[in-house]
Parts: sequence; C-alpha cells; structure tokens
Amino acid sequence: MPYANETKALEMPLVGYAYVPIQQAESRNLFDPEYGLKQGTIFPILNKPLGVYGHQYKGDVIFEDGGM
Amino acid sequence: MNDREALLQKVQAFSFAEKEWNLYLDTHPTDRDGLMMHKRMADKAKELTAEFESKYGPLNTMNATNPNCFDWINSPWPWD
Repeated sequence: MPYANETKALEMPLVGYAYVPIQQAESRNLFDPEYGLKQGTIFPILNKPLGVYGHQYKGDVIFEDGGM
Repeated sequence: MNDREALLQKVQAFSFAEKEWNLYLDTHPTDRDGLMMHKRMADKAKELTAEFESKYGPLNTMNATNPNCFDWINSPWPWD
C-alpha cells in the first residue's frame, strides 16, 4: 500500500464507526513556519492540497521531489 | 513588502506554527518532541509579537497600553 508508513491500521475496527488514522509522531521533516503558513500545515504528511487529496490512495506519484 | 509587513508575516507564521503543534499535542499530549517544538514556536511568536508591537503598535487591544493615547486606532488596519 502506498504511503504505508503514514498510518498504523486499527487492530479491531468496529463496524459502523468511521476512523481517521492517527498522525505518526514526527518532528523531523517539517516545513518552516512561513512555508507552512502558505501550505496550510507545517507537517508534510498532512499537506494534501486540492488535486492531490484522494489520488494518493490509488498510489499515484504526486510529489516528484519525494514528498508524501 | 516593507519591513512592517515582513515582520507581521513572521508573527503570523510562528503563531500559525504554534497552533499546528497545539493541534498535534491534542492527540499526542505527552510527546516530548511535540512539547518542545510547541514551546519553541510559542516563545518565538511572543518574541516577534513584542518586537512588532514595540515598533508598529499593538496587534490587539489588550496590548494597547499607551497611557496617553489609545494608539490602537492609529496603526494601519489590515486592509490599509
């Protein structure tokens, strides 16, 4: 699964409940504050602008520079 | 972009980064790195805010403390 390192699957998901995978702890590769303000987040892993959101799941390569 | 706008953008950027770490800590309240980064961003935002306000006037009415004039009304509005 692409971006496997992004999430940790829930062991026992309950039927009928929606789940958002918890963000993995990270404070290494961050956007600097000013770039983050423009992007809308300082965490690259959460940087899913329009046109990107949804495509990643199908494994499309989105960011050429190796971003998530 | 003049100095005032450049400094204001820094204030906004670090205030934003503090809020990002705030949101992260909501779900990782004991994360050491997160706690450290949050403090670092908060301190930087406060420092930049103090610098901005000393040069260009208050950013919010709480800090409009000039005893002689409510200089909140003198500094330019965001759209000015």
